[in-house]
Amino acid sequence: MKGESVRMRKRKKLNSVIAGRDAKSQLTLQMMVLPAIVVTVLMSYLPMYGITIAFKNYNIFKGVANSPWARNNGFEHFIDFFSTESCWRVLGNTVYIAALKLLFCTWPPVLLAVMLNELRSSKFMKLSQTLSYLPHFIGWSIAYGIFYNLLNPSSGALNILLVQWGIVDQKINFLAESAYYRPLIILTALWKGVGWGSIIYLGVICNIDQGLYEALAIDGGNRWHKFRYITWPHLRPTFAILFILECGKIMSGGDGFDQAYAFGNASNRQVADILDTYIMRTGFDNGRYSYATAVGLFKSIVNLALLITSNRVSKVMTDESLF
Amino acid sequence: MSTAAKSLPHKQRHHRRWNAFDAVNVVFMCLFLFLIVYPFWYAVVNSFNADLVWRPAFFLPDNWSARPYQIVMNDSSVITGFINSVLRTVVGTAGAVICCSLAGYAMSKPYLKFRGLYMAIFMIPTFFNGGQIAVYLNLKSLGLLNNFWVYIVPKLFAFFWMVILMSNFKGVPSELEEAAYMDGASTLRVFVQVVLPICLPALATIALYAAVNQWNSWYDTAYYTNGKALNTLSWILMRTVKEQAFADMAQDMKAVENNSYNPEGVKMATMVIAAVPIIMIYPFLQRYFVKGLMVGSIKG
Repeated sequence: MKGESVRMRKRKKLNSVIAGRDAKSQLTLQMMVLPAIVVTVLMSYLPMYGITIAFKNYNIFKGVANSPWARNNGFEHFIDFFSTESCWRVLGNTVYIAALKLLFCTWPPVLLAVMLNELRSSKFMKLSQTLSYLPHFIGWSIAYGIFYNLLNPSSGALNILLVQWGIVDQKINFLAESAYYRPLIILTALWKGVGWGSIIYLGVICNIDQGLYEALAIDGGNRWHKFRYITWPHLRPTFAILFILECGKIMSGGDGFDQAYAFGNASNRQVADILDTYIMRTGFDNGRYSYATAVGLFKSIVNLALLITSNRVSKVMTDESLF
Repeated sequence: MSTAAKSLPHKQRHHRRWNAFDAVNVVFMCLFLFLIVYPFWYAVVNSFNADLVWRPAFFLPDNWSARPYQIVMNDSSVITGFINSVLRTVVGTAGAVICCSLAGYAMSKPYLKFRGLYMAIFMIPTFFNGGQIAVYLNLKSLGLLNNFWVYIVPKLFAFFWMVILMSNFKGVPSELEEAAYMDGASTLRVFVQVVLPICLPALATIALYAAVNQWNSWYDTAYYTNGKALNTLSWILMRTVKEQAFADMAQDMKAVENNSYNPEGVKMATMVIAAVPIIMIYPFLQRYFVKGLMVGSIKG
């Protein structure tokens, strides 16, 4: 009886392997990839041809192909960009914000995940998790609206309290003064992202073999040892990969376009303007398509170089890498 | 699938006595949660604030009123924006889940012909792209500007979503698929009736990603459409909050003069209306969500 069923299973397996891999199946599989390939080619590869206008003087009536080439062997717009005063300001702002985000926004999700996991009541843990995800779901427009209401100098709750408690004499315009811009960006980025960012670490922690902790407890390890010798080594690969990906976003101000667009205004532009907002303004508002494309191309190339470099560095230093 | 079972280390911990660390941890967590939740609370209670001369409510308003909501609901542009946002979120999410899972399933089969080539085609654009202007000119030449499909087509496929789905599909025991083949099922049928039901957590994860992305997207409305017909709630909000700093003073004076309403409350009501639908999605998908993400991230 038992022998027969094993034989039957073997037979089944043999047949099905052929059944799943015949020409008809292969065709179905090819058809399944097709929509994604078409979308990728239409939406991602066709625009790559449009990059050529970075080396041309794009004329809206002549189109991409027939527009004349730019001066200086086509590098006119790149040279223009690097010789403007705003270039270094915008580059500086972009890298500054991205560096602050790398410094202050990458590890708090790890800390939160560890602390959530240390909570004694699993009900409280669930509640904390769910609440900490809340800000992820709203866009930066709503987030800015909410913070505007809390922080503005005329009716904002924080200013009213600060004056009431005698901490400041005069209300502070947090949203317009340049000095408050960067702390505000980092704090709101944390508010929005720390809970969501902790999910992935929490998942890794949940999959750690509990026997390791028990063994450590028997050897007299304390909470710090638990983190240092068990939890962190398990989290490190994930952390490294997310950090590498984040390095590839440095020239985008740490994926900060939406946030910079929402929080930027005429009074804080000096510190708020990053490459992406600069590209949108020069390209769409001022109609300098070729110039904006050149700046965008520069941005993409540097981002790619940073990604590859950080990947290499991580591979050498920590043995973790994305590719 | 073992995530749920393993996520209960708490059982063992109950034997341990509470110590200072636990207390500090709970206090810290409460403080943290207050900082996370209070901005929402502030927006919600003040959207019910009926003060004409604006005094923000810190915890509960003195005068409750649903007037701000009535005013928002009577604004035809908000209604149009809401309908468009719902439409693009529903269609866009369904489209992305279908497109990514079809591709993810085929890519999960090592015997798919040209698999390596496809992988390269999918991966390259995530690390290098044409930039905003080139994308815009491309959409223009495809005739997608001022077209509802400009909200859908560019967001149909995302490499990371496909990778999450692909690694989930790889985790499905091959015996299940083989059994279905033995019963004479076609590849598509195996995919729809055997594989997809097992991978619901992963599908829910992608659906959540896509829905949040669609609902909050304002960039495409701002740059790829003009006129009111295709306006979305997120762009209406972005404009409202961007202009409010400068329009506030004038508006406040006018509203108080007319003795009608305070624009602060109306703004908050608009924000609440824009935030609630997308936040409401989460509880429905929650039980799948964390599980789906985990399987994908660990194996991928």
